[in-house]
Amino acid sequence: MPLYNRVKELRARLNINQQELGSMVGVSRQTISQIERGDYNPSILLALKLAHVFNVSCETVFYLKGEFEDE
Amino acid sequence: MSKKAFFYLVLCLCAIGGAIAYFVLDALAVSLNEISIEYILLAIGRVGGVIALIITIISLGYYQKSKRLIKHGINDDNYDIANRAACIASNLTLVALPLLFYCSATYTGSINKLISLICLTVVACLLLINIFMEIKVAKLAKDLHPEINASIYDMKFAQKWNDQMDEALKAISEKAAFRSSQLMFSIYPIMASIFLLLSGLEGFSLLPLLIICLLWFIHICSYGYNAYLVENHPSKATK
Repeated sequence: MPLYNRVKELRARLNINQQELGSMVGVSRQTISQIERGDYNPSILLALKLAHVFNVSCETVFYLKGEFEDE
Repeated sequence: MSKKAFFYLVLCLCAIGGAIAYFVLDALAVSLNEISIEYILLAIGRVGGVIALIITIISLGYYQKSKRLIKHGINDDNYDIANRAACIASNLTLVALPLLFYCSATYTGSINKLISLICLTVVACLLLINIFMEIKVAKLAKDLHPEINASIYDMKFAQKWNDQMDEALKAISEKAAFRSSQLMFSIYPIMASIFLLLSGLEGFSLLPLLIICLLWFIHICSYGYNAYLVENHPSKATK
């Protein structure tokens, strides 16, 4: 089951670029880019760090297909 | 496919076709009885040299593309393009190296001939260009990954780069390594079978078969040992 995310949308709300977000969570710009494109599913640790930066729950950042549309 | 890419593709196909046609016509001019395994091995080396030349030109194009994007400033829109171009340039230069090594060996036997000396010089220059390109591309990679602070002139640059990679880069590296290992495990028995059959021919020694079997043995022992470590002693495997 594919995993979807709102990383790009939440990043735009904070008005930061991929490099800055990567620095905040300790990963490279390439990793953030891959997560946003859906080419890479982050580890639990990275997902929690991202949720912490965006100040939202992990389920708000990452969701399975159908879950977000139901909310 | 863009017009530029199509143009380069046509150029490459013409060059490869020309090289193959030259050797085929040359072979036809020679009596069929005179074509030996040695001639075939030399011809493979020369064609490999032509392919390496084309690969070098293409990798230079990708290197320039990535360098231009980095020079104008990296942002979220062009980062992936610059990263992809640098990755392709790096991989192409690595591909050219074994072709050039083998091609240079096919000329060293006839170094007293002027044309062979010229060709050997050209091959040596291409080899140096590819090695130099690899260093330059490593610098580009460092610009694209500023969080990695290993020096490219460090003998352990590759090791330090691997140690500082984040989870996504490690996943890419591990997946690529696994797939290439799987491919080699299917190629080894095929090549061993071919050299086993050829070793029955007069004048064909067992040396190629020995080399392939040795590489196969080392590769499979290394893979098995590391797989055992990762599964049973993960703390040792991360060192």
